[in-house]
Amino acid sequence: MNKLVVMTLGLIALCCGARGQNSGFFSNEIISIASSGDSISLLSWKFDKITSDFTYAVSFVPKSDSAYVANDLNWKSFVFPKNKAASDFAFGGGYSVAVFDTLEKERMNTITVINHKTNTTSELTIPWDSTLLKDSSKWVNSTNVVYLDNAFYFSCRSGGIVKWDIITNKKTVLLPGVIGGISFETLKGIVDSTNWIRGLEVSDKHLIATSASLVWVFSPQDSSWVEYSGKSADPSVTVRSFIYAVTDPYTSPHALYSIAKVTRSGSDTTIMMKYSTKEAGWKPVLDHAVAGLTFGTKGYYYTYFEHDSTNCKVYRDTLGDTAVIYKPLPIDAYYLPERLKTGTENPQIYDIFFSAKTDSSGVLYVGTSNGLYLSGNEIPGKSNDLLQCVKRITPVKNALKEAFASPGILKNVEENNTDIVRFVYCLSKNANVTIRIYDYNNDLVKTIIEKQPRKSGTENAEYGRSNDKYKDVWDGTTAGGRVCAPGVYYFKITTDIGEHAFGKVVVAK
Amino acid sequence: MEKLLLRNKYTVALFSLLLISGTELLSAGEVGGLSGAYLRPAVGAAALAMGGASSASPDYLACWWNPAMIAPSKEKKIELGTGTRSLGRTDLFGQFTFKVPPRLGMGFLVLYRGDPFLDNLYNDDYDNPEKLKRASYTTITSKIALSYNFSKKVFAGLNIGILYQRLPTAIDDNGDWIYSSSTGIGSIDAAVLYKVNERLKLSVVARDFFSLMTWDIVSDYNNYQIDDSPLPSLILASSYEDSLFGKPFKWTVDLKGYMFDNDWNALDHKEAYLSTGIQFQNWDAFALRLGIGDIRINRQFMDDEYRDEFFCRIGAGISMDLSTLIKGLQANYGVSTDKIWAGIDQQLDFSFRF
Repeated sequence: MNKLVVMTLGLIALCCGARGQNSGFFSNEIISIASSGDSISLLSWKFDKITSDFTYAVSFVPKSDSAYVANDLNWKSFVFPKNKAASDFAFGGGYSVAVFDTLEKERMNTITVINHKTNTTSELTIPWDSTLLKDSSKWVNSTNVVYLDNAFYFSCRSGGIVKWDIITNKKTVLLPGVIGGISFETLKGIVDSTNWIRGLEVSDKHLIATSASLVWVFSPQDSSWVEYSGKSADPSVTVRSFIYAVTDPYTSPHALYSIAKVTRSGSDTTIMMKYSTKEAGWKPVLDHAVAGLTFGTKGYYYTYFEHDSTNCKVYRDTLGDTAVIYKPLPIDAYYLPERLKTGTENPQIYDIFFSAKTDSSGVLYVGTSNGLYLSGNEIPGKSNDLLQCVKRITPVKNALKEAFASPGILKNVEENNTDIVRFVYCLSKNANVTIRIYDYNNDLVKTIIEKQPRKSGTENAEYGRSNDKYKDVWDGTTAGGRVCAPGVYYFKITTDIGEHAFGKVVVAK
Repeated sequence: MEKLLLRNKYTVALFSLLLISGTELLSAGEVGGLSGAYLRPAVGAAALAMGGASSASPDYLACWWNPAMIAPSKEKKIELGTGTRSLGRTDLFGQFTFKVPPRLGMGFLVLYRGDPFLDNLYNDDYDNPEKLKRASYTTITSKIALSYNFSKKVFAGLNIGILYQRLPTAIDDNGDWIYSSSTGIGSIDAAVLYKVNERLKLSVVARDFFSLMTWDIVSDYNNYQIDDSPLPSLILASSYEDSLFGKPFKWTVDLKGYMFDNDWNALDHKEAYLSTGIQFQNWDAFALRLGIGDIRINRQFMDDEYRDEFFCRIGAGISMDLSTLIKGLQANYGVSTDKIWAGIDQQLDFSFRF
């Protein structure tokens, strides 16, 4: 789970209530993937520059039939509250749960629950004691959620871990090192903020909780806590704080990894570390700030990085307890971006999830800014074919009977010259296309493209659209490079096959 | 008489040639997209039909075309009109002018111009776009004109413009558009008209000088102001009236140049447009008008873009004297191609003199 990306998306506001259900993805920005049992669930988001709305949706489908998964129309989507910052997402027991990290004391948790059995959305409230809520030195807002054995677990900083049993609907608090649940009335909250629970992951039958200074592996079956301090087994590395920790579910015993802020050779950096049982300390594994990862079988893991969200590499850890820095083997032959390519750009990777089918193969899901990518028979370390992209694209009428600018209004042109409008159209045949912009007096403002070849939308153009997503664009400037005055502008698309279309764009400056 | 006529023809031809040759100095033009585009289309059916070449002898709507022409008129005039243009653009206008003896003329004009049919705008979801509610673009321009008759041959005029624009810039939580507006007071048009003789008029019109509009932009994150100065233009115009086949005939030429902005900074790419039209009154109560307008004159004259896109307006129209119904009433209709072949522009107006 890519906590860093998910947590940074969105704005904080208040607006509740589900928008309803529809078929197909609501948005192709897949920011989180969750799975349990036979279903896979996606959290997607959309920011609309025109309306300034942040909207989220959960899409889900049984994963047993990959062909079924690959058909976007089979996915059922719930669109729900907007203008909140989603921080994490989990699925299990017929529920999808999204955590929206609000810092408002009165609404410390706005946890959205989607019941897939009844197709309803509701809000789950954690019954914090009012004294704890009012305590300005303690924050109990939830940051992460995971599902394990008919219960959702929420990491709640000073409030520890909250368990919500979906069978009994009972909510209890778990504190690291404390056997058994604690009632909300008696909970005083964790005082030392370095021990606040900030990260929570699930692996096999265990929960891995992370605070800035400690990592715990919790077994719900026997309520046992195993604590791992920040002690480094490498003399050149000092652990400053943990960001999150995970275990490899396919190794036995499960290897424990963490992403941590460290000081190494006098400089601060973020790296991936592995816990050495033999040396009772952490050893560096990857010299990268790993934004998220998922484990494949046989020691393979797929990672993507904080500072390059289009990059993703597959590594294999064959070092057991002897991990030292730089030793994991990068499997560059299976460099994932090459397998995601659909155009001239690599999509941003938001989340990766590997679901094992056999000892050596599984299904790889990659949530990106360009939809869900899927490898139905992924053999870690071997598969190198293109991933299948599942996304929802609204068709455009053929033969230039429909053409529009996306978006129809160009804002912040002067301040932010990266904003553009794209011209969307579909030709009946391959043709040379010219696009020109005119002002209110029909004076020519700019020629966008002139007699450039474009493919027929009905035959070979990507997603049935003839326009080049990266070239058939306007940035709101004139041919001479001046920023256009606010007003209404008109575009004209002409072709050498006689098809033509007109449309409008508002430049709001 | 014949000599005078011949001399006038040569004068008009020479004047036109001078206007055109002057544009040799101009390079590739880029007026498109600069401020004040909504002020550039011709106002009135007669002007539309004659290619927009009406600055030297507007039959009516003098406040717009040439405020110097108000003083020579002995009558009060009221003009009302409307028009539609391609792509949903719409005009609505009215004017009142009157004489203040012995030498003064005054007038007031209001022009609505806008696009009330911004109905094909989409949000910014490229993959799955959603259509937004219909929006509108509105402008209102007022001109208060003063004209003075220096002599029987020389007239001058000045008007002050009040400018207003309204544009959708954001959307509220209900999906309704939020509009931003701009206002400006002080746009100046100045004109001098010289009657060479009864047939020939020459005029210089400076339009939209010193105009400054301030936009109060309503954005999603913050509100802010930006200045916006419609581009000034200078027009050299001529009108020649004579007879053809023994019937009244008029030939007009306008050469409009854009050379600098409202801060007196020279434009990187100056631009000129030539417009010309004729009016022929073969029947007592009925006149025909033809014209070609906005011929862009610059060094791009024969490049591919110019040839592919015939950026001119071709206009035609009629005028009917309706005095048999109401004394002093005249109706005008004009139709023109737009410059991008998206449709036609039409105007219908009525002029009442009393």
